[in-house]
Amino acid sequence: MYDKQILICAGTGCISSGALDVKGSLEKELEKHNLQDKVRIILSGCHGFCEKGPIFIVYPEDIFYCGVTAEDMPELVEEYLVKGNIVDRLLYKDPITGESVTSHENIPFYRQQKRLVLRNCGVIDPENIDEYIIRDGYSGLKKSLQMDPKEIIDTVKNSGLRGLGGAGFPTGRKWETAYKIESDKKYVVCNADEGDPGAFMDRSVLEGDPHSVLEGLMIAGKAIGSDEAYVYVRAEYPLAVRRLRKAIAQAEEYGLLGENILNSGFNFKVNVKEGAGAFVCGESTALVISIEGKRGMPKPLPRPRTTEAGLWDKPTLLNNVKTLSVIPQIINNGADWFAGIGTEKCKGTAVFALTGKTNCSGLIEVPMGIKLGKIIHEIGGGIPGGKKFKAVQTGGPSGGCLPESKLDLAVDFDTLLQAGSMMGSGGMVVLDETTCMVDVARYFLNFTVEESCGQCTPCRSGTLQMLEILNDICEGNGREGDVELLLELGKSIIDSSICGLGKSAPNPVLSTIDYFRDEYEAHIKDKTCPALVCKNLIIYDIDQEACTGCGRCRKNCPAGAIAGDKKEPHVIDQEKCTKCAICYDLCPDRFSAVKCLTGEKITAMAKGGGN
Amino acid sequence: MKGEIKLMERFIDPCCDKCVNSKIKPCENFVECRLSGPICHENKECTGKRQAIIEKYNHSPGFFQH
Ligand SMILES: Cc1cc2nc3c(=O)[nH]c(=O)nc-3n(C[C@H](O)[C@H](O)[C@H](O)COP(=O)(O)O)c2cc1C
Repeated sequence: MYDKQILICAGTGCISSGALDVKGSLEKELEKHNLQDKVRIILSGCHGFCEKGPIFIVYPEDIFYCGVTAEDMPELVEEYLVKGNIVDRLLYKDPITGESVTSHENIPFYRQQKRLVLRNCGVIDPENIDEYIIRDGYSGLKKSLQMDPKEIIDTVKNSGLRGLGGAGFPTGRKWETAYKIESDKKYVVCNADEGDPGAFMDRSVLEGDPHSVLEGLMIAGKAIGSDEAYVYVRAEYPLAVRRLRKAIAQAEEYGLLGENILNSGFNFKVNVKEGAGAFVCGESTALVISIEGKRGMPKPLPRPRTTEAGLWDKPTLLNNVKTLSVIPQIINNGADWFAGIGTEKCKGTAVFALTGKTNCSGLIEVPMGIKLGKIIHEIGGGIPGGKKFKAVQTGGPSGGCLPESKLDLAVDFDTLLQAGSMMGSGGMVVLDETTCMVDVARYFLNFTVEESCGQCTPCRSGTLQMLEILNDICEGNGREGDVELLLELGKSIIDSSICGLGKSAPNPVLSTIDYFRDEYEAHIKDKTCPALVCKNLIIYDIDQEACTGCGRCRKNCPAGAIAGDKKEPHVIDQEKCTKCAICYDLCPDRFSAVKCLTGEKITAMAKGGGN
Repeated sequence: MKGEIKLMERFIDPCCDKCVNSKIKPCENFVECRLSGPICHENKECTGKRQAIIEKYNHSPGFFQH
């Protein structure tokens, strides 16, 4: 038996931060100290706190080290594993108090979370089926094999689970529809396309707990009368694909997948289909067409529902990775257990990829109904650098931006939608006062323009029209009436596009107009970018009284736009300046001589008024 | 030899010759059996083999149980 077990996070994030080098170095150090038989190293899935990776936890005492490197291993082994002294410099430091925290339980980022979907992520070795079985894995399958399909469906219905792929459709109701349709063949499909920029929830589940998805697929298959499934996962997720394939092979070896599973007469096969990474292929009808080997485009209207005629025109049940991965726990623990978590209308938890301007970012899972502000200020640790919160963007490119006045909102599918945003599959980007809301809307719209399949005119041309207007506004060429035009175009695109991509593409624009209209007006009427972001609306200038001529800006200006003698005030040649902001960032705080100007201040300067 | 105690390194390995789980004839109680078995026979050593696997892999029971 081992004295200690060390979990090193081996999700994609931590691997790219050097987790495998850490493992290699640790192995060498353990051998040096003859500890290789006393300490077991486990490569786990994602712990969520990617920003602090690689994460390194020592059990049984549960010491949470973060940001470790291969070079830290000699000290960690010698000091901690041999001598028993905690290496303080590698512990997590509270961003407010600066104090060291030894256990994950006391880290605010983890303390407020409730992990159901991510239950095993960062806890087990995802490549070892035995570890999954020990944590009740495949017990839900076993139970479901003894249940009547209706009983399984009722359990899922009564649990109140709503699809975690974005729309929040009641899962049990979808299963019931698929069950009721008679057919010689039915399919279950797991949607692991995850095309939202910055989202990595589904990838982390597949990397960290692939068996839970397989088990969910099998339970769904048993419930609706299907014997075959596809997991549609983007090829850009090589680690997820590899771990999924390994999990399938292990489950087959164990007789938990294949023919006559657990002697029940139930057969089930899981195929993996690697997608090319188009956002539109996450849409149900496009996804199905892509699995069939054709170009993934949403089916034209009117179209049957995928549940009725999906893959090869057979009834097809489509669920998201997270929805499927929580199913085994619902079967195991019962509908009431799940229904006891969350809000009246939205049960269970929500998983978010929390990114942007927060002190702590990463993958989080919270009970439905948690306050938006709690996520940002407690789990996310607030806004860094003493800056002010401005907005939070949820729902990815189909979502919207919510201002400070909405931080009291209890997060769930319905409240976010009512507020003009959406849950989506879980993107959450926090924006501070240095973000231009028009520019943010432009960023997301640019994404949907690029990802539109081009099939229907409102989405293909309408979003492009909106983007051109936004470009004009950001470049200082906005005209009176542009906002009204954006609103009108947005509404007609929503009304007339044939799929969810077009129907939601205007959301980031509409929600920013709704909550930050003054910023649009400032760009259009005053040619001002209040957040000092839009390059055509700002200039950098050096305050002649504050500048001491230290030369830092001049030496580092890549455009050679700054001139001035040593110890004499410098000047920026506006013709040459590319507005890269390097001078602004480098000017020492004690001088703050480089100013960023917009609107009237530029006019005043041009007239010789200085700043 | 019948009844001989073999190494059980993974749950898929039989604890002894009495375990008849196989791909052709899968045991319906495989999952429970591995967690708290054996179910079809009684043998302390067979129980111990399962416990050894469980103890080896139950390394982080505390993570996120708060
Ligand atoms: C453009 C577009 C992209 C989508 N991308 C995804 C995706 O990446 N993953 C996902 O699960 N659902 C995605 N959806 C939603 C799916 O069409 C579908 O509603 C979902 O997979 C159903 O699963 P659920 O009921 O478990 O939520 C997308 C929808 C649209 C319109």
